[in-house]
Amino acid sequence: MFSLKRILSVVKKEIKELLRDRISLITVFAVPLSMMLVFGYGLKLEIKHVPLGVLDFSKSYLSREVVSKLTSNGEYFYVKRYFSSEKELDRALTFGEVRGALVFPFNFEKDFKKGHTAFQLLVDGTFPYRAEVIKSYVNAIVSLENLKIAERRGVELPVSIEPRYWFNESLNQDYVVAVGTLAVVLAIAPAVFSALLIVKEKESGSIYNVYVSSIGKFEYLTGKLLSGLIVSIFNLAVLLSILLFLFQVPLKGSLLLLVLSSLMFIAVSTAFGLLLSVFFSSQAAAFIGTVILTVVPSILYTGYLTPISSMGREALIVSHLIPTFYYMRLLKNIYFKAAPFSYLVQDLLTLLAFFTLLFGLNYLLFKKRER
Amino acid sequence: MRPVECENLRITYRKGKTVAVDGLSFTVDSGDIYIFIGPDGAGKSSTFKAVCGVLRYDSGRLLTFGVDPNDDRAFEPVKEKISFMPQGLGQNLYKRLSVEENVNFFADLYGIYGEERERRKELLLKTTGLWEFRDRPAGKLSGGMMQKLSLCCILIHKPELIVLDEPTTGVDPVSRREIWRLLYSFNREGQTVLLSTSYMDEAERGTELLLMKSGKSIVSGSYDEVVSTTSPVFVVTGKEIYRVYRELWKITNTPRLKGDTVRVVVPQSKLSDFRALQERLGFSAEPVDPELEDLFVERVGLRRVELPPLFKPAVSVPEEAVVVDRVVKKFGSFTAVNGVSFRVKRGEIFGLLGPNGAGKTTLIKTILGLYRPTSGRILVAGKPVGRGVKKLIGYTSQKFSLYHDLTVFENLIYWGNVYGVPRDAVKLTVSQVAPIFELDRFLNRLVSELPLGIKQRVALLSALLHSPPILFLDEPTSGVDPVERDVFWQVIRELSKEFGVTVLVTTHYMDEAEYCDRVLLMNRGKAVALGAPRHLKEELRETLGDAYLIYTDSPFETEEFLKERGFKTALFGRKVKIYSKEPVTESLLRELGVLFRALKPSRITMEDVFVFRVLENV
Amino acid sequence: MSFSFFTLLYKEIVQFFRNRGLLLFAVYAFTLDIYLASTGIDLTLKNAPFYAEDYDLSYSSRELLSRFPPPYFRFKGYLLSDRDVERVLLKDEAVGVIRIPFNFEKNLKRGDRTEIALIVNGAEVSSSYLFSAYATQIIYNFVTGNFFRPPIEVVPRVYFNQNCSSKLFMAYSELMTVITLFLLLLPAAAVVLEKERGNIEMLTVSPLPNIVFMVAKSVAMGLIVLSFSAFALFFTVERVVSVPFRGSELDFLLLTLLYVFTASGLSMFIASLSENMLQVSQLTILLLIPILYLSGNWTPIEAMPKLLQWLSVLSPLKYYIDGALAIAIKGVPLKELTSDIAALTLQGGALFALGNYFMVRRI
Repeated sequence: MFSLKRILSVVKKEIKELLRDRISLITVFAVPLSMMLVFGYGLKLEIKHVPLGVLDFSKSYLSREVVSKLTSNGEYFYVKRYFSSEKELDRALTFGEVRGALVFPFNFEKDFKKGHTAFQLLVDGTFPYRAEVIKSYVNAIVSLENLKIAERRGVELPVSIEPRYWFNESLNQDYVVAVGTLAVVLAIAPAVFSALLIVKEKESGSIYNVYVSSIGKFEYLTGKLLSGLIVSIFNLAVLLSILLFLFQVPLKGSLLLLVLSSLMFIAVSTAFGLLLSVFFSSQAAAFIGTVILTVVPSILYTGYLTPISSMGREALIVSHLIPTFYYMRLLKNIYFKAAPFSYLVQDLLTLLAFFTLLFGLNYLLFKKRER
Repeated sequence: MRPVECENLRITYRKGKTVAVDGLSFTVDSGDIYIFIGPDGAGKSSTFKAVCGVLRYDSGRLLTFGVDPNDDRAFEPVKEKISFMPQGLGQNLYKRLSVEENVNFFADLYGIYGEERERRKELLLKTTGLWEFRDRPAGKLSGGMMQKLSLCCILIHKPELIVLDEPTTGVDPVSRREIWRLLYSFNREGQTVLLSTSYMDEAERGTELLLMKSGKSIVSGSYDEVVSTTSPVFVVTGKEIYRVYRELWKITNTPRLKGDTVRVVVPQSKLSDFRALQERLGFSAEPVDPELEDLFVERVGLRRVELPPLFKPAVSVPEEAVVVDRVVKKFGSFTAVNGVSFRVKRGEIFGLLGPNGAGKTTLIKTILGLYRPTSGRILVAGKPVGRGVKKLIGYTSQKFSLYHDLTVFENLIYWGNVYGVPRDAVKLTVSQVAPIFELDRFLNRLVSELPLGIKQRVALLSALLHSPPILFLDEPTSGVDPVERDVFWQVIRELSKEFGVTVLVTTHYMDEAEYCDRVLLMNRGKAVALGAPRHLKEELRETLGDAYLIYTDSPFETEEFLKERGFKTALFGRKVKIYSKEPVTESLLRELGVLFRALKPSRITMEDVFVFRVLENV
Repeated sequence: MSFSFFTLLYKEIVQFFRNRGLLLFAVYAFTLDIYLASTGIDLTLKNAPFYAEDYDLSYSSRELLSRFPPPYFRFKGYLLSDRDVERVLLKDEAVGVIRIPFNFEKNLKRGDRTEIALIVNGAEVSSSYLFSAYATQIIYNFVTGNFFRPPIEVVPRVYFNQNCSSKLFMAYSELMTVITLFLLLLPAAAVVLEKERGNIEMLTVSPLPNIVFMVAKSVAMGLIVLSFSAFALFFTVERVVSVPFRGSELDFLLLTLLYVFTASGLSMFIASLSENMLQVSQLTILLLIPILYLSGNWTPIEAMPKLLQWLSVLSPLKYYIDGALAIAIKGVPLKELTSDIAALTLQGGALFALGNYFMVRRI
């Protein structure tokens, strides 16, 4: 029904045009690379070096002891400034000079000697996750101190609590972020590139060649799809190498499956970009549409920064409409969990279904006519 | 099976609000060269698009090779047999790909591979003279070369029907001839051609002709049939020719001022009025054979334009309005303008002629300060171009840089403002001038919806809003129909003669060159000839001799034949023009063995000047 | 010679509104997109599903499990074997599993050693960590309660956002991201379109100084983005997502206005480098990523590598986000945000002037 040669001729033309457009050629590869490096390297969910303020009314040995325990390893907290009044402290919190503060009451040490004492931890809630982490750090460190004090008083706790992190034994959050970033980048970059592939011909007028010639819709669209894919396959190779060799995230599952599902996903995201290209008649609209429709959903609705399992019902419905959701799950299952193939089949088939749907829509919506 | 059968075709836009084609019927037979002419917005492009299945038509019966183009599935195989070239210079080319790669891509599209492709590619590129440029990116070709390349591209698969929407717009006379030669040679191989054009002499070259207006066919048939429907035509000469011209308007809407003569079509009913006027003013009127332009003008009707004094420039410029002194402009190793010098006098209409790629546009852009000259001196209004001079200049570029997503009125307000004309002043001007330019109906329409001729009027008006004393017009009439061009030239003439506006204009219509006071002919970056049209023509007559027209059924063969026998020849429509210092007689032709229908004495025209000066230079 | 700036602005604005596709996405971005971003996820621990693998099934073990309260935790049921544990974690059905050993109650009462295991899905970020931290704390509190009262107690108080709702932060940060995207793209796209159509030449020939034209373009796009921002603020954020706004909306918009200059200056850089939309689009993303990252929106600046901490001074979004969040979440009046204003003005002035200058030079 269709001719492979014609499909290839579209691909050849597209690649040649890209090769002649130096700025685009560089950026097409630089965009995914920079996204991967910036987010894979730089997106840190651990909280470090939090600037703390201290307002110590007790001016006691114990309060100094607590402060030094909190800041002793120097990694989590450091004291940015000592305050003498609540007003000053409030200002510092308001203007972000300190992210949290320890307030020791006048009777802090006296109460301790009586058996029980308390101090206040003030946290800036602007960045909620950070606030929660700061709280948990302080709690954990103080609990440890309490145990030691209890031991000194002759009480020993018979229960030990042992957290175990499955799939990622050291709970290296950087690993998880890096792998997730691959999904996000592959959701955005191929779509953005392919979003202009057809609409640019509409703007320049060369689309008439396609309208009038006998090249089939299927051949033309497949040609465009393949040109997008070729660029993205290059990028995939680069991104995977970064993941494996530069970030050195250990791959537990099969590389073959990883590559296979990635290819499938690239095809989905390319077909999505193409769909916008078919639908719109201005490049600016197609581009901005692609960015808006890919960035937020793929970062927030796919389990990139937070587990799917803790999503609300409404958000979960949205998630299931987004192909990146399935790819993210595949990635994590293959990468960290070495999940058996039977666990992957469903997601792979879903991606295939998405591709069929998107490409089918492309085929239906693309008319070889002006109108 | 006939290539195209069309009955009662109707095409509308904007959900039926705009009717583009309204009950058109025509039939293209195999082997025809079928030509559409008509005013801008008549519906020619829409018809062509419908024929090729690019645009859905509303109603009527349309069959291309017996298949309805509205039927997606059935029509798809028919596309193998046709090719379509949309309007616009090099629109369908890929600018970053080389000449050869463009052709290859089209061959791929149509599934032409291997030896056949190479053979056809070589043939096409060699006939068009593009062979030596085959590695150059399409974006770096001149306009004429782009059109030739477009043609090569769409001809690569040997279509049975070639549909061309104004293929020669913006193309110089020499390249136009080459394009026609190409078309004829394919036509001889049996290919059918359907094309539209705004050049009347080209329209003569068809086997069938259709004049379209407001979506309808006004007249159609063979060239002779069509032209014979024209009323009597006269060439009027005499003293005070401008006054005669003005008086003639009171009788008909067909007078055209051409140099020091007026050409006019006088309907039978007005003949007595015409004779009375002749009596009164004492001019002589020589009856001549009607030509296509006469028919066009009679059927479509010219419009008289008289400008209000509002466009009289407030600032006067020195006697030497524009001085170009040994200007050189190089791009890398390529010299686009090579030591050109001329002076334009105040109030003069100065024409800049030359083939595509001769450096005209580069020169204008250099004068305007868009490019820095490599060397040489340029003065506009006595000063180097800078902020102070800019407000004295009006400029329209080749592309008519209007904003397509703004309405006509919004465009005018915007461009007025850009030249420092307050909103209210623009409004006032527009309210006075819109009726004269016949723009009133279009003021609130988006520019993207307008036909080319209207766009050109808007572009001209927007360049005039600040009443500049000097106008630079780069191919202002490209692709514009004869009636619109006449309106345009009336305005230019009036601006120059009544208000003393200096006009520097480039054009590819050689009849327009005759309207200029002086012309500069450029080729390959150099000035080739400079002078008044009459002077240039006289000069050429001295070298070539007198001109004769040979009426023949096989113009291309006849021309070749005569050329081989050492005559200087040129094609003019379907006629062959021959130049000779010895008198040419019918018996001489018969002796030579030329097949012809008639022989008539003719005159040297600016087109002759152009062609011979350019070719000599090559 | 006088030019009506209003006419220059009018044209740009009308052109924007006539591009239906662009308009559609602008409306989407400033409404639904912000809604999705703010309601979609919560980085803090919310309704974290967990299972118990309880071999004791005693009063104490049930009591312990009851200490995991909603809305932080959601108890999904008991598991009977390690294989089930693997299954729920592989299938992402739980963030973690609490394993309580046989004889837990007996040992606890007797003071004999016993061990509670916390099995957490390490392939997830943010809430996995919080889950284990919270669970540890809860178990610890439960156990110690049986033996002693902790001598030192921490009384946490979260300022500005008492229940640590992510909505607040996500709504504003997405609004600012969208603002940045449009400010980077719109002016550049509009300029490139004029380049492609040859209008730039006409304007260069006209007495209108190019710089005025470019400035008009930036200002027009800025005004468009500003009005969309106002709409998003009053409608999407305050009404639909319904998060509180502490400060003055006017202050927020004034700060946005300052930011408009900075970002559209950057857009002019993109425009001066690009010849076609593909280039504009790629360069926009290339510029957007570091700006977003260095703003400290995702990674606190103090946690970045040293080099990046220094570079973050360059991200205009950093000052904008700092200032805007201070206004929106903390209710700080604009006049107190002197350092952010100073930085934005300085950066905005320089970038706007340079970007436009660079653009004009390239014509």
